[in-house]
Amino acid sequence: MQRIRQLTQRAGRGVTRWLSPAVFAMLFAAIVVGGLLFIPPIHGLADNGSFAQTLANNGLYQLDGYQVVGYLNPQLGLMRYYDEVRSAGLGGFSSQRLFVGLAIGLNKLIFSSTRFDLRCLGLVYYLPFVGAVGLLTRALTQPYRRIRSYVLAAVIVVIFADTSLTLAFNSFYVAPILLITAMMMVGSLLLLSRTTTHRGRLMSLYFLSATLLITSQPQNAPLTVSYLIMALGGFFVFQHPAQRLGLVLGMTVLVDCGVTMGLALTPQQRSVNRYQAFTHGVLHETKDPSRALTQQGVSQQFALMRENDYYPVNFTELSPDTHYVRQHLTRYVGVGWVLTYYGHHWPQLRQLLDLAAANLMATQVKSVGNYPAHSGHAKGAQVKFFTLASTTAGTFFPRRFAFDALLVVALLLVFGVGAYNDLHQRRTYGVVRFFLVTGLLLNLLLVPLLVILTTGVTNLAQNLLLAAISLNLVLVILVADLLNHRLWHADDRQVIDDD
Amino acid sequence: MTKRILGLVGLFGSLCLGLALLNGPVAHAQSQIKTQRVLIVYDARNPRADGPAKIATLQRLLASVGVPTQTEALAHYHAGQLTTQKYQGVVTLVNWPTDHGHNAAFTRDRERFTGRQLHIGQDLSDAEARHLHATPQTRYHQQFTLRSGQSWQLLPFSENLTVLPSHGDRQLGQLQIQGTDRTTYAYGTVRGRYGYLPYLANDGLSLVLAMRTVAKLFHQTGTQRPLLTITGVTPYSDLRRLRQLGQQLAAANIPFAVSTTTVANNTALQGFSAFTRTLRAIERDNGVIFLQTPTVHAANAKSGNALEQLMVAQLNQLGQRQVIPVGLSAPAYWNQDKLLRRHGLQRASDVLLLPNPKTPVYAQRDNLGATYDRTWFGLSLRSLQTQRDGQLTPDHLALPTAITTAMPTSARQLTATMRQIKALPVTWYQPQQQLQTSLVSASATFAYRRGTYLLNGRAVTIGAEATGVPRYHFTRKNKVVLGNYFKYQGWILLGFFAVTTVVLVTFLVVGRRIYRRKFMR
Repeated sequence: MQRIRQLTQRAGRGVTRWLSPAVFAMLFAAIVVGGLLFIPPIHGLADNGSFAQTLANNGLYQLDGYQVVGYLNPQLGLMRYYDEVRSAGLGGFSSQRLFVGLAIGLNKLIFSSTRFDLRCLGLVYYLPFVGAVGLLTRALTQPYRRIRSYVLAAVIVVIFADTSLTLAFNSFYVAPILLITAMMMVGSLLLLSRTTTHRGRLMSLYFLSATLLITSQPQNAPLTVSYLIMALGGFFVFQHPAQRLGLVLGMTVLVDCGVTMGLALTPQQRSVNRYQAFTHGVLHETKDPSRALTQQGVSQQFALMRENDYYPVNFTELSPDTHYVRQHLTRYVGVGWVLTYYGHHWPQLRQLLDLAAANLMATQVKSVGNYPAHSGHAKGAQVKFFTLASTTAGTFFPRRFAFDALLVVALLLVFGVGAYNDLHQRRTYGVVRFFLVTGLLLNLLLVPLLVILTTGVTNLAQNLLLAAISLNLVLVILVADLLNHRLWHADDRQVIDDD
Repeated sequence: MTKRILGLVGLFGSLCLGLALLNGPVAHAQSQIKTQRVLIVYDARNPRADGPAKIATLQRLLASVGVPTQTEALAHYHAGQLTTQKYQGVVTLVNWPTDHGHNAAFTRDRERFTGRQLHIGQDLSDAEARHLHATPQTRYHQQFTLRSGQSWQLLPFSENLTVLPSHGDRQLGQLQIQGTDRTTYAYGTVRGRYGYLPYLANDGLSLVLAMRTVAKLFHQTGTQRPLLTITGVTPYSDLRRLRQLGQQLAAANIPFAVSTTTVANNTALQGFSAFTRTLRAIERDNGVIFLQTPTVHAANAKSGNALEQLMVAQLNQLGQRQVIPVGLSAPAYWNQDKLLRRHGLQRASDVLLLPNPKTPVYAQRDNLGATYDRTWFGLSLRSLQTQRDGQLTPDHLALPTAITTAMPTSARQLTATMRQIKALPVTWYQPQQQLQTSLVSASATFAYRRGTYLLNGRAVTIGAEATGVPRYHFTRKNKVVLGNYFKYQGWILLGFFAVTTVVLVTFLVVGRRIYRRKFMR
């Protein structure tokens, strides 16, 4: 008996020497996600009808038999000659182009110059994702190699390598960029305050990730505020004026990106947003909005458009993309109009926010299929593998926005105590962490509100994704710091750099 | 007892069988006439010269004549197709004159074909010219005036036009060269079962004459009065203006039709009752309603159910509020699509076919045009009245025609439209005296008998307010197990958190005071 215990202890010691929690997490995530994405039949998210623009912008086209909604398309066509859309610069800019461009280059190198294999894009997201898992785990577990560190690493993988999040790697949605960059940002900022080396690189990584995230889609422009707040922690780490100038420069770049993205909405995207914010927001959760519409200068007849989509599934009595609708509806119902409307209808806004809160943690996109055609799966079939975290959170997380708001206050109080203590003792960890958490929690409140104001309560699983990721990150930080006993004040142990 | 019943049943059965055998051959011959199609063969689509629109116009013309069609590109024609007795006629449409399609098999088969033949455009073959007893002449770079009775129209400059000489009673409309040489030629020519048109236009006098040509070729000799139709009405249109238009037309004693779309959902909202109230007012102002089919946004061979449900829901929602459509109106391509025809149009006796939108979205295209009891041809009012280019009195039309004008979008447009309509010296079609229609939704039959609306065979009185609208339209929320828990969960947790926070803050304050007191001492 004694011998067995000794043996296991020695084995354990051997394992912990050669396998740090971060490497363990990376291996775990790599195996789970790699199996999901690359081993046929591959998994991914099917087109919900919004890919066309992205494909055209990137010089891809739909092959014959292209499937929408029900099934995934494992292959696409690569345009070989002149690409009209791209040269005309019609589509709005997105950092997604960098990733897709990289994937196309890789595809041409290893697969074909006429056909695009979706897995190339998956791979382009997969590698930085595994890196991000490693970085985050390292930031949350270093320098310990206790059992609890490995448990924590496993928890991180279970939460962030959840199928609902990683399925999007094999797709043209921007979700992977949000996930990877959010993890990178948290990892880099947490490490920044506890290490003495590579600080410049970590801060640069933060700014790079924030830039990519803000420029991934126009909706993210207002979130620049959150990322500026997160970056404020840097001023407590970097004391030298030159370094601080660098910080200011980085923040200026973020602001520029935010403004650019705010202006980058194409008229088409603006119409879509306004229309759906109206039909899925203003007209939602109300008995009869007719009188309210008339009071605000829009014909009450437009209430009949309740629940209509900008791109109807099949038939419509009046296409939203017509001169008449633009002239009489979408011209008026901008964000200002919608804000005024909700200003007069608080209970409705609260109900909508609750609806958003109810869907906050349900990150799995249920509306589109996950398998390619001819894979033996039904149309629109969903993957169940490795969805424990998202299913549990989606089922049991409270469904009130008021709860979210209160949670934000409570968490700010908790992390605020740590920041206060560290500030007194001239330590930086708690302070940097406080700004980081503030930014993340601001996301949690801002994203649902912005979604309701700009796009309505449609496609919530995708539109609220960033809020869910942010909350998950904050909760993981909370748990990790509780386990490592540095929630209320920083410890003096620093990151060991030979990890 | 059972024996007697069995005997009776046997007697009845044999009687039925005998009747069926007697009627069989006659019915069979009739159905063959109905099922025999006219083959439309076009050389090229040629979108630059408005080719697709011309094909659609031709399909609409033949549908209004009452013959089913099949449309095919010349390249897809296969030898022997025409000689199989499947077709009662063939129309050759040349869209791209300079030899852009040639199919020897088609030319050969057409020569042997014994049904009716119509040629439109250039490249008239020798055999066709022989049948028409005329020598074709080609005129290059000329401008023509088209005349018929009092009506005339100045045609746009033409590159080249193959024309047949004028010939008294065989010709429909005459073309006169502008300038010094004022030779006249025939526009439409019909001789026996052969017909010729030098070109096809999508509107204006040319179209009215083309209509007459096609009707004559297929022995439709009656004349029809046009039905004034307001198109482009939706539930989102300015209802007050629509109401005004109806009142002004009624005051001017002009009967009219309104072609409108409607919604199937959200019908409990005020907007829908306002919309149907306006439509009822139009019915009371001697207007009739055509239900415009929805815009197809995306559809495939599996969309049949969705369309069926949508159409039935729309019709029922209208019917419950005493809005009884007399027919359906749709873009022409709906009649060339198996699914849209079957689940959309075929429920109506009267179908109004309008020009196609820019990019038609088909569900299950088969290019087989069907016919209905009456197929109205939609012809725009604007094309009849161009001050500079001529004038036209569309009084005696060969086919059921709806003269369409778009719903005015401003007060000024309303005045202009009314002036235009009143200025047209025409006797309008009067649905109240002539029209008899029926329209079937899944559970209800709508009918119109010369001014009387019938719902399931019973006459309907149309009042200002809807009567008998069922009041169960509010949306029902699904009940979930533990629903109550989830409903209050947020508040319970909120309360819990609030209490905890208060306690924590108290402890913090108290602890701090104790701590400080320790040092004060």
